[in-house]
This record gives sequence, structure tokens and C-alpha cells, in this order.
Amino acid sequence: MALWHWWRNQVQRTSPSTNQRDLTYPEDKREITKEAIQQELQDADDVIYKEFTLHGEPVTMVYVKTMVEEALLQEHVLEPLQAKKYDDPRHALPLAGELKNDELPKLLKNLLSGFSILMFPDRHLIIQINTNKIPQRSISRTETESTVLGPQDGLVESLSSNHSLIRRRIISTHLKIKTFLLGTEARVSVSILYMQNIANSENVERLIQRVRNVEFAGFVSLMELKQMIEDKPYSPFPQFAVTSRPDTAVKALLDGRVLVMMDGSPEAAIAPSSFLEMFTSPEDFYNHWSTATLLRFIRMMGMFVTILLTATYVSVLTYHPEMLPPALLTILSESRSKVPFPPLIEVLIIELVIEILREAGVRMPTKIGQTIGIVGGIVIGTASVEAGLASNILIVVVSVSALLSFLPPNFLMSNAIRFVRYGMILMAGWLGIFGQMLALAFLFAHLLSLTSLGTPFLAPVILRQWTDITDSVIRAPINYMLKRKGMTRTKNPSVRPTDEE
Amino acid sequence: MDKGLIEKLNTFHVIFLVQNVIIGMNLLTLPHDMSAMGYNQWWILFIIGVLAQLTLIPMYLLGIRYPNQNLYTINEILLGKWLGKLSNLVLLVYSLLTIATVSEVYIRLVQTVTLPERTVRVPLFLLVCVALYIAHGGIKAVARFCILGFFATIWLVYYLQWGLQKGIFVHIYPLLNLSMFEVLDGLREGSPAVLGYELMLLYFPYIQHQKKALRHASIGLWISVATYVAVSFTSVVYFSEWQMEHLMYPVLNLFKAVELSFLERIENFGIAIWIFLILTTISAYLWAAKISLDSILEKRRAIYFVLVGLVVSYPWRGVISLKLQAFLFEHLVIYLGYLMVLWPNLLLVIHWIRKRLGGINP
Repeated sequence: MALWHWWRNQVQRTSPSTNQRDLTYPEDKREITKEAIQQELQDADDVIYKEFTLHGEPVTMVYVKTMVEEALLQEHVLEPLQAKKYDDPRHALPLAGELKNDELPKLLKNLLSGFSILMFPDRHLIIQINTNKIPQRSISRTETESTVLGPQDGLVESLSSNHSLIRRRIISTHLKIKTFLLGTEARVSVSILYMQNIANSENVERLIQRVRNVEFAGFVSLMELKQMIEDKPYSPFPQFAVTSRPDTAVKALLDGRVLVMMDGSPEAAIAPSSFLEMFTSPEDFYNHWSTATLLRFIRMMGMFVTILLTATYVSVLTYHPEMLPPALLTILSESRSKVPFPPLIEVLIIELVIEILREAGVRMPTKIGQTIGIVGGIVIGTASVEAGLASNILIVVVSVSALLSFLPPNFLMSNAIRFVRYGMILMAGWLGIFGQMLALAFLFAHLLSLTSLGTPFLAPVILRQWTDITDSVIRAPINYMLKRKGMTRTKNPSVRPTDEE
Repeated sequence: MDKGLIEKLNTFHVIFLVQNVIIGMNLLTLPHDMSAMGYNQWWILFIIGVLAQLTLIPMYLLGIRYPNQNLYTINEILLGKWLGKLSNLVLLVYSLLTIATVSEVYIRLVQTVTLPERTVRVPLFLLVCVALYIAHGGIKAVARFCILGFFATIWLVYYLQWGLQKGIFVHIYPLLNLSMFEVLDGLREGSPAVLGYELMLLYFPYIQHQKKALRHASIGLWISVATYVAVSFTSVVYFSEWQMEHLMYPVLNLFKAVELSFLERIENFGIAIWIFLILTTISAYLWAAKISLDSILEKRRAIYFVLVGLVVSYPWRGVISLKLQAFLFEHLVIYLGYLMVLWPNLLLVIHWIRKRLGGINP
């Protein structure tokens, strides 16, 4: 009990407080002077202070060398100012913005993210101009969700590039992008995207509320933030879908979902999401409906087979060998005749070998990774059967279930399934087929209790509305998709205009 | 999951909550329980269904008069605080006995069929743990699990076809070779199978469409009765009277009749997947026992779940004598069930009298 109270206290202590204040710039406002900036940015050697005169007027310029391209500064700021005499420097620099005299926190934040500051002490004028130029990856195809058909561009680490990838696909005034600065130290930009006329405003508000309530030093990836804003953070299953493809993101937006994106993270989190959507790929919509339905069936069946197949091997061989028909029993007992371990240990050894091979292959460069695959698959597999450490039927069973566990297009879901499989194997070794079904019932009870942004996670399995069936395990022909998902609780449920009579 | 007193059970939740809580352990033994009826048992189930339907109506009438109260609070309103609490205590004992009976019988069967070399304690403990996990999510979680449980098990009906193929259809003619007394005896033996819908008054305040609750509950009830009839019908076709009288679990032997090319002895699998039906029953009664404790002790605490779970998973056999056990699990629980089914009639009468006297404002 004491441990529980300690845990509750820790959770409550780290939970966000509810007091209202300016979350974007929580620091106190102060007057802007060169000395104040210098004091704040002491020992930051990449900050450049330049004093010069323009048309006889003293000017102080401040910028951060590492965030600004100096050629750009020269070309777009200094040359227009020097070119001809002006009444107001803002006329020469129409894109520049003015800072109020007491907005020191805003100035510091913008300065550090690549703005140049020009101070005209005689005029009491402070202007900022965006000269940001930071190195970034060019838009390339995504590695984790690649498809044969359809658009090939993937999201990148720059938030503004990602916004433009989405904006160019939805040219609509209803697409809203709200940006927040998150992290008490890192002040990283996090944006929430939604279609105002489609998305449920409750969902949007709930997500904004969650994002704003997060207090953390800083995030390096959206994945961290996602775990903090999910409904049940202790669950092994991801409750928000994650995509690195702009087309998936746009499809979600048009269905009324809300997206979360973060600067520095090439992904978008989709909320609310459902369990079935973790098993769908955007390619399902580029293929014809018949192919897509077949593939979806395979992925869903694959999930059940991968969590039950090796566990069934264990339970049947340990407790219920009478369930096997004679022909199969003969093959199995022959192949297991040299194996000195009980089925549970045998399965755990081979499953762990596969897991180790996968983990070793992930970190290696591609060429070595291939070698590891060959060593693992052929050498260890064949050798362990010949040495009598495992039966060759088990090798087949484990390889099939390993392959099936990689079927879900969602990487986090595929990881969760592999985790669940070990629980199944242990329960099967402990209590046979009863333990297996008990674990399955527990798994389902857990999935049923999960929610994604307040919506049941298993929603399309238990239909929210009858039209959901057109985009579930069955992918109906595109003409039949007339309604948005019931899960999104949209106020505008029709995909097509229905007022034409 | 949604907690608190909000209307959260939609049409499907109500249908499957009624349907799946009814079907539990009794289906496995039903043809044996009613073996005194011989080949007539399958149509007697329809009479049982009608009787259950008739007792469902007063429940609905009581519920619709107290749309925001569950049975426990209605008891306290109508019978007064202490008498109400006493009757709630009886209902708590009924819930606990039902859970204990169902889990005990099921685990015994699991031990006999699939785990002959194990003690029952660990499986029983784990079963109750999972049921507690479901019940902890509230009645909506139980209802959602009921929907899942229905679809996870309804396809087992397909396996009845082997029994029908191998059976003798002349068994099914309703010969009416029974006396009135024998029919009544059959009703007494068969009726416990449909117990489970009496919990409706406990989740009635959470139902969204309360006006249609009777219709939805009836659909659930008749799905269950149809399942019972299907199994009983197949048993009548497949077994002889002697077999039905002497087989403890006739449904197990129906499973044994199944012939698949890739799997044998499918009753192992059947008993294991039966866990979905058992879990729905147990978790619904766990929830009932928990809110009964809530109302008796006048506090809402999650710890009561643990308390209830400890009581029901306690190894009974070590403490209570076999004679008492037989009385508790085979007789008392059934009579308490009948009491609970008929209880709303009494409450309705009291409601009517007190309304006449002008002393009640629901």
C-alpha cells in the first residue's frame, strides 16, 4: 500500500497543474535593451552584436550566427536598407515585424530560432526579420511505410515543410494549423492540424488541452509526446496511429481526425484512431477493392495466427497431444524425438533467437544486416535442427509467426503484438489451452477497455454505425464509401454533397 | 470507460448483456439436468422461455417507475433503510454464490478435461482476476465483453451439425408422454439455466433507451432460449435417454462427435473457449456484488472488487463441509435466484400500496 501511495503521489506531482498563464512565453516581460540581451545570452559565443550607422543613424543588429545565413542577411536586410534614404526602416523592409518595448522573452525566443533583430535607439524602434536558414533533409520517400503505388514523398524533420506537404494537398480555408511551444527548456513547436468543418470540436479541444498540459523539459521526438498524451499510457498498444506519409495524414484529416506534429520529428500522430486502422495501409485505397480486402483479411488473420500459433504448439504438445490427428502426431513426434527440452523451453529458445536476430539486424548497416539474416535463418535454423535443439516443424512455425508479426503496417502495433505473443506462450506452457484462452480473453478485455481520445479503440470491430463496415476488414468499392467513420463523431458525416436532388 | 451514473448502455449492449449473462455453465449440463423429461425436454425449454418472459415484465415496470434507481436503492426506498439493506445483503449473498458456483463448476470441468494433473487453485484465481479486470471497467465494459463473447462463441453452434447427422430424428416427436407433475419437475430442473436476466434491474438506470428496454431484453432472452433449444434438440436427436441421464456433460460428448481432418478431440478447445461465456457471467455478477457492497456500506470504493474477488476465489472445499457445499451451490443459489426473479412483483405491490397511501415520490 505504501508503494502504491508513493506511486500515486509521484504521478500527481508530475501531473500538469491547472493554473492559467501565458504558456507560450511563461517568463516575465522585461524591457529590451542591448545590455539585457547580452546579460541573458552570456557565454553564448555564436550570438553576434553589430553596431553601425545607416544614413547617419546608429543601429544595433543582433543575430545568432549558427541559425542565420549571413549572405541572406546581407542581401535581404542590409542592401535594401542601404540602397536609398527612408523615413521609416519598416518601409524598406516590408516583411519585418515590430517588437514592443517590453517583449524581451519573445525577442529572445525568435532570436534563438533564427530571426535577426535590428534596434534603432533614436526612433525607439525594434524590428525583427526572419533570416532563418538551418540545414535540413530534403523530402524523400519514407522507409517504414513504403508503397508500390501512390505518392512517394514522406514527412521530414522540418515542421514548416510538413505543413506545406499537407497544405498543397488540401487547398481549403477550413484547414487549421495551431502551433504551440512545448517543453520548459527546449521550446519546440508542436502543431495541431484539423479541418474545422469536419472535425469534432470536442476532439480538437480535448487534444489541445492535453498538449498544453504537458510539462516536460523538452522532446526530441513526437513519439515521446504521443506517449504522454495517450489515453492509457501503461498499455502496450499504441492508441494514436502514427504515420510518416502525407497522404495518410491528409486522408485522416479529411475523415475528421486531428493530427499532432512536432518540429524535428518526421511523423504525424492521428487521433482518434482505431485498432483496425493499425492494420491498414494507404495502398489499400490505391489497389482495387478486391485485392485490398484480401490483404486486409491476411493482415487481421495474421495477427491472430501470430499470437496463437507458437502458443498452440506449446499447449498442444505439453497438455493435449490427443488433439492432433495421427498423421500430424507422427510427424511431430518424429521431429521432436531428439529434442531434450520441454516444448515451452524449445519455443522460447527459438523465439528469442529470432528476436535477437531482428534486433541485431536493425542496428547494422544493410550489407551486414543481410549477412546476419543468412547466418540466422539458414545456419542457426538448420544447425539447431540437426543438433537436436529444436524440431524442424517448430522452425517452420516460429518463422511463419515471425513473418506474420511484421504484417501490420504500424510499427508500434507490430511490436506490441510480439510482446503479447510471449505472454501467450508463457500462459500456454503454464495452463495449456485454458491458459491460452484466458490470456486471449484478458487481451480482448484490455483492448475493449482502451480508448483513443475518448473513443472506443475497438470501434470498427464493434460498429459505431453501419457504414463503418465499408472501411473495416472489408474495403468496399470506393463508390460505397458515403459516410465518414462513426468513430470521429463528425458533425458533417457525408463524404459527398448530398443536397443535390 | 465511462463511470458514474450516466446513460451509457445502447441497444446492443442491453441485448447482449441479457443474452450472455444467461448463458454460462448451465448450457453444458442442460440436457443432463432435464433428463427426467426424456425426449420431451427440447420443447419444455420454450415454456421456460415464456415463463422468463413473463417475469421480465414486472422488472421492466418497476424499472420504468424508478428510472434513476437500481434495485438496491429501490429496495431502500420501498422497504425502508434497514429492511432494504437486509434484502440487499440477501442479493449480495446470491451474487457471490452464483459467482462461486459458476467458477467452481467450470474450473472443475477444466481440470477434468484439459488439466488432469493440476490443482484448481491457480486456474480459479486467474479466472477471477480476469473477471475482476473486466468488472472493474464498469457495466459498460462488461456489456462490451458480452458482445465480444457472443461472437467469439456463437459459431460453435455450427459443430452441432455432426450430432444431427449421426442422430435419430424420431426422438424429437413431442409425444406428451408426461404427467403434469413431471412437466413441473422439468421446469424446476431447467429454469436455473435462464437465470441471469434478473440483473437487468441493477443496470436499468444506465440504459439509454429505457422505454424500449423490455423489447431489447426480450430479444436477448430469446436468443439464449434459441441457443438452449438448439443444443437440447441436438442432444435429443443424438443421445438415447439412458445416455442423457448418465452423462454429466452431454455437450462435451456432442463436441466429441465432431470430425475435422486437422484436429481431433475438439472438446478441449470447446471447453477452453467456453471461458468467454463464463467470464461474462462472472464479471456481471461481480459487478452486481460490488455495487451491492457500495450500497450497503454507502461508499463507492474500488477495493470492494478485491474483497468480493477474495471471497469468491477462496478455496471453499477446505473449509465448508461437502454437505453444506451441496446445499449452497446446488439448492440455495437456485432458490435465491427464483426469489430475485419474483422480487420485483413484491416491490411493485408495495409501490402500488404506498402510492395509494400517498407516501411515495419516486
